[in-house]
Amino acid sequence: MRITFTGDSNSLSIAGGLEDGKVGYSARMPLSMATMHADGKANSCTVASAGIMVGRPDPMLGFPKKVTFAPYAFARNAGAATHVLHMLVNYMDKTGPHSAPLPDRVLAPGEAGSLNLDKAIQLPFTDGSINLSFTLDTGCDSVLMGVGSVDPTGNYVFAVDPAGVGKGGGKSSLYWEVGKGVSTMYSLWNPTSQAEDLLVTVQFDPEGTYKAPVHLEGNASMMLDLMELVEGGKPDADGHTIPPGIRTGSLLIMPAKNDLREFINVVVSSGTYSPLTGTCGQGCETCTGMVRVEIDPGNFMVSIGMGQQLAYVLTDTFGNRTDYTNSSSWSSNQTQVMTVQTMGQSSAGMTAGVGAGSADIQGELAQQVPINAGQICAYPLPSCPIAQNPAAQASGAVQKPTASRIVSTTQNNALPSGQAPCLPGFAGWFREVLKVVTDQNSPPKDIVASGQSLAETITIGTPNALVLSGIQTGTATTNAQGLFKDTLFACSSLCPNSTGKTNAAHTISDTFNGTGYALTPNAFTYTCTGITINGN
Amino acid sequence: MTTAKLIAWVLEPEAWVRNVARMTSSLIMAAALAYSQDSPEGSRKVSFPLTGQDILRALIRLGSQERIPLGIVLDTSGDLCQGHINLSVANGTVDELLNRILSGSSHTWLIKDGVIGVRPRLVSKTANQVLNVNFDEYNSGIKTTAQGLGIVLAGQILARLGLTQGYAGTITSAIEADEIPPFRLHNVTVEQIANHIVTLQNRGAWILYPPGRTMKEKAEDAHLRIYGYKDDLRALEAESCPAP
Repeated sequence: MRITFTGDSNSLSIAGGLEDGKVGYSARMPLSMATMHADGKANSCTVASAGIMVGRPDPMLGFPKKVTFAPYAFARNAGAATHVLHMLVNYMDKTGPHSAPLPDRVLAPGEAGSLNLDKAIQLPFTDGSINLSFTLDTGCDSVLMGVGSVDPTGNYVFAVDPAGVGKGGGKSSLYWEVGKGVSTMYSLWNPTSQAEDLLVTVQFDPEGTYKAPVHLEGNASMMLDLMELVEGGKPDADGHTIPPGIRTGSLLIMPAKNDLREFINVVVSSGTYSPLTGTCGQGCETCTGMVRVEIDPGNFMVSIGMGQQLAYVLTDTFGNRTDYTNSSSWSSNQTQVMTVQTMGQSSAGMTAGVGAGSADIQGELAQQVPINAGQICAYPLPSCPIAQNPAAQASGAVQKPTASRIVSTTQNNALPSGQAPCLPGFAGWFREVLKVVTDQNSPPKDIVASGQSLAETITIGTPNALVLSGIQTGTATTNAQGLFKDTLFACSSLCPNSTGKTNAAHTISDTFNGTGYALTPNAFTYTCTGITINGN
Repeated sequence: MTTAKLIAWVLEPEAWVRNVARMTSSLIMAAALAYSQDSPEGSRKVSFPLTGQDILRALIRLGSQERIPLGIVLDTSGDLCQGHINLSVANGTVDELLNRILSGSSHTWLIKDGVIGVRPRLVSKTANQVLNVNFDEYNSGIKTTAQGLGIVLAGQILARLGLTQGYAGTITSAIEADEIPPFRLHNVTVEQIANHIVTLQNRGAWILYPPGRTMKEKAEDAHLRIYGYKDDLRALEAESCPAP
């Protein structure tokens, strides 16, 4: 069946199913939007279904004794080219895992049909479960598949949609349920020859966890019966148990080593079923992994000769932020403005302002990282996605001390004769200002940095109506906000009566991190009724 | 118990101070004046290695490290800024260390008002004139840093000596700098005021640059600078001797 519609792929959701009300058969129809894409996007795809029941189910599962299961698989070539489907069956027996190839199936364009598993599969047992993998010579979205097991009456149907095979992050199962005739079964299959060490965490409300380490040899598989786990009551390594009354929860299958850069390659299938009523719901998994990559801080300013330590941070599915600064390569797109130390140097991620301007600093993890993804239970069936060397950028600006500005005037008052610092017979003005050094930008930005060593000079100019001389100045170091204080006073024997003024040039030298900067001079004007700085 | 160190200051008569215009550049020989090592500053034990520093910076380092107030009168010889001192004193006294630092220089030292004074053996009249400017009542008036008080005092000295009709200053200071609340002193000289300031809070040092042959030649040269060890050490260490 093909459904076409006008509009983009996100404008319509379609769900379909089969049911036989007479015998109680029902099954979901796998529909794929992506099958409408052109062929040949990818040249290979492997999907697999784990835990397909064969013969009589385990008595522990609670099915009626007469129920037996047979595997089924159907495939449809939804593309315009012929494709070859390679198949493999895998099962466990007392000696361990076994895998055997099945005959290839050639699918003509538009062809749909059974893969005839009943004839293709030869098993050394009659009752148990198998795992099936299907490798396509094209992308995953070119062939639709339906896989599962069904009893001859058609009343019990367990669809096990194939899931993508490939290394990725952990997998999160959204929901399990047990009790009142319902149970949830998980099947885990390691499709590669490399052993996998996993940590299965059963989560249940309120904030309960039960952890079980799992070792899967190459090609091995296992089943995890939640009902058995809940009713078993065995404590985990931390002493935690699942309380008997718990009926629902979720489940995580993660790499045993708690590191976002760790991968697993495990096929997970799950189903929640009621053996007595013959109903079954297929589970759904999502991929855990990286949610966000960022450089912290994302925007920053430094002065020439100064540095800002940047951090390369990955945030995972669970909101955990992990610093991989020292595992990342760092680069600047404007090394004449800012440099950055990279992996292997003494302080990876440490920037250094070289010249005024701006630069983009990139951090790139030198490893692959799994990506958090949504449901992977719907077609197409990719494996969990992976980010190759995830990278992020931060914007850095380098400030050059250029001028100063008044932030606020904290005192501004007349000095009558004899009021310190004016001696008797002298009067004048007193003004105290908070100042900050500003940079080369237009408009200027404050340089919010401590440790700027400032030294000032005052040169009396003309006119000098107040006959000032011998003006001394001080030195200061900026605080963490880049602030410093200037306290200005003028005392003249001609005040308070003089209406004249004295002009002076005010210079500030700013020594910052070993480099000296001559800031733009200011113009001071002293009168008996005020002191102005650049006319203010 | 102690060894006397004899240093003397010949203080200028008041009449001489008032008659600035007729002041000559003759130098006054400093003679010895009794000094007792009972002074807690002088008998304080210190361990102090010095390598390659000139006398001025050695003194500043001693003062700032041990928080000992200093008052230094420079002369035009510049000998405090010459030479390289290499010595190491382990658990010695401050006066032992001072003797070794100043050995061979044209300067000597004494402790006065709790301040170690270092000055030429021959102090110029003009320098004495500055140091002995007298205030019947001195009101610092503003809350500011030790350096700020020095800036104010420097202007007031010029005014009191009649060398200017006006004075001004720009006190640049750190926001978190120690600020000395206003204080009043009665019948004090400039030297006593400066000594008082450098003994406050985290202590400090004052330096008097040598005035010219006559004050009126170049009034700005006769400047007094005061620094607090905590906030102004970098500026203090950057001080240099006047050119010979």
